Amino acid sequence: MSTPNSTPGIEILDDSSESHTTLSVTVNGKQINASVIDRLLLSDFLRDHLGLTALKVACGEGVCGACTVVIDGEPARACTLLAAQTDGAEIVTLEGLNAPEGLNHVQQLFQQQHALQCGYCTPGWLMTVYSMIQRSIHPDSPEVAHYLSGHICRCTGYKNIWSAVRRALGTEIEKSASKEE
Amino acid sequence: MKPAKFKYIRAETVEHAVDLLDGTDAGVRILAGGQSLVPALSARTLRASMLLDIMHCPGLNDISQNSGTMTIGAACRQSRIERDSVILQNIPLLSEALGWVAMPQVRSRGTVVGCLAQANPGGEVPVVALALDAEFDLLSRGGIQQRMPAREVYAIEAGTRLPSKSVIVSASFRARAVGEGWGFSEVQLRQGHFALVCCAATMIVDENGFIKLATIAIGGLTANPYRADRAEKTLMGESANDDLVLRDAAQIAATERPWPARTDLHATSAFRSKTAVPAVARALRDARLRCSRHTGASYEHA
Repeated sequence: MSTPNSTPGIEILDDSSESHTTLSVTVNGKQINASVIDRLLLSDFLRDHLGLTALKVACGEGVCGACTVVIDGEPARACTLLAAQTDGAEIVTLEGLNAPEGLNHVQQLFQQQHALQCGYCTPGWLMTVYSMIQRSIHPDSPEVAHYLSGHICRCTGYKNIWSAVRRALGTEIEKSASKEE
Repeated sequence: MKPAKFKYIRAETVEHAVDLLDGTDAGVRILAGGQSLVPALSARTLRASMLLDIMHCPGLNDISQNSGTMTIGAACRQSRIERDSVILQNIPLLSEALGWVAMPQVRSRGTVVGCLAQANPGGEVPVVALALDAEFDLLSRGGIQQRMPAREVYAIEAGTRLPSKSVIVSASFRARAVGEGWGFSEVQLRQGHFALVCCAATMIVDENGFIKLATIAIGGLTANPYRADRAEKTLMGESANDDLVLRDAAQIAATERPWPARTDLHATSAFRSKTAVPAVARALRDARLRCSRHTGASYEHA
């Protein structure tokens, strides 16, 4: 078992009478070997066992997007996957994207555009934006709406989120264009 | 954690999975991408005693091109198939329909074959399978292989006729014929939601603009999708340019359903029946528009 989280109040269910499966994953560049209870969800593994609490669990059925992480280069729900299913995968959580100090570029844009109020859904959006940047999606592409449709914000900040995301994608396009010159 | 207890097994080969499936335990389920199964287990609307993960089995990640068909392995994820250039060239209808399946964050993990096995009434992939005369390759205990056409798999009102204790190894779709156009239309409550109704259609037009072949499959209207055979027949030999002909065929297609129209929380049977007509007409018009100029005919959007 990986190092249990020391956060008080988080109780890790690790009943030895339940069947376990071994798991080897890379999380934010670190190799993790663990033995997990078969029915443990990836979201609970990341939050409760690895202490990576940026991702949030809300709907628990893959609809809302708050638990989105990046698995093997693509955004995916952590709540609709068993931890055991991700053996061999490379997982990135928001903790893996944080700037050493302060906010990273996309986080800054979210702040400037007022793209969050309560912030509960924000880590999920940021992971999707990260994947969109990796895939060099153009800010005017219809794919932008497809990707963003995978997230729900109940503070109804969609318009501001939309503009922050478009700016983030636009800066990336500019950056790669200036590199080519 | 929310699901009730089960045992998880990472199958090493498909044969290994089939062997474990064939035991006396009725609660064994195949796990592929798990994008529907895991939430159902979490909500405890489904229970399992054992999950057999087939995603690591060798060979299931293959896409292969045979004479006139494209075969997609059971572990191929939707996002990969959606973006694959060979698929786009040979079964563009599938690429387009996959864009309607849930959201990119779900398609990154869900599989094409998983959709076929699950047969969700609002699912898009079974509709494409029917339109493209797909065939499923199954493996049962003792190495028994079986090939089952999509038409037979979905020939009951709900669920599938897939034999129990077998694994779908792959599904083969008919590749696009020279000049064949395709269209996929869907009505949904919001992006990423299941289809209230959807339609997959293809068309081939001869050099004089007459319809040589038309296929229509409808989903969402009834619990399982169906092929609109009567509507397809009425289109044969008709002028593809005539919007009224397409509209009449759409009317027939929506009416000839083999089972009653579906009512659920999101739409009544009356709404679905009515919406299906323009949905089919739209798919047919798109198919006509994409009939290639190889046939000598060309069409512009009205």
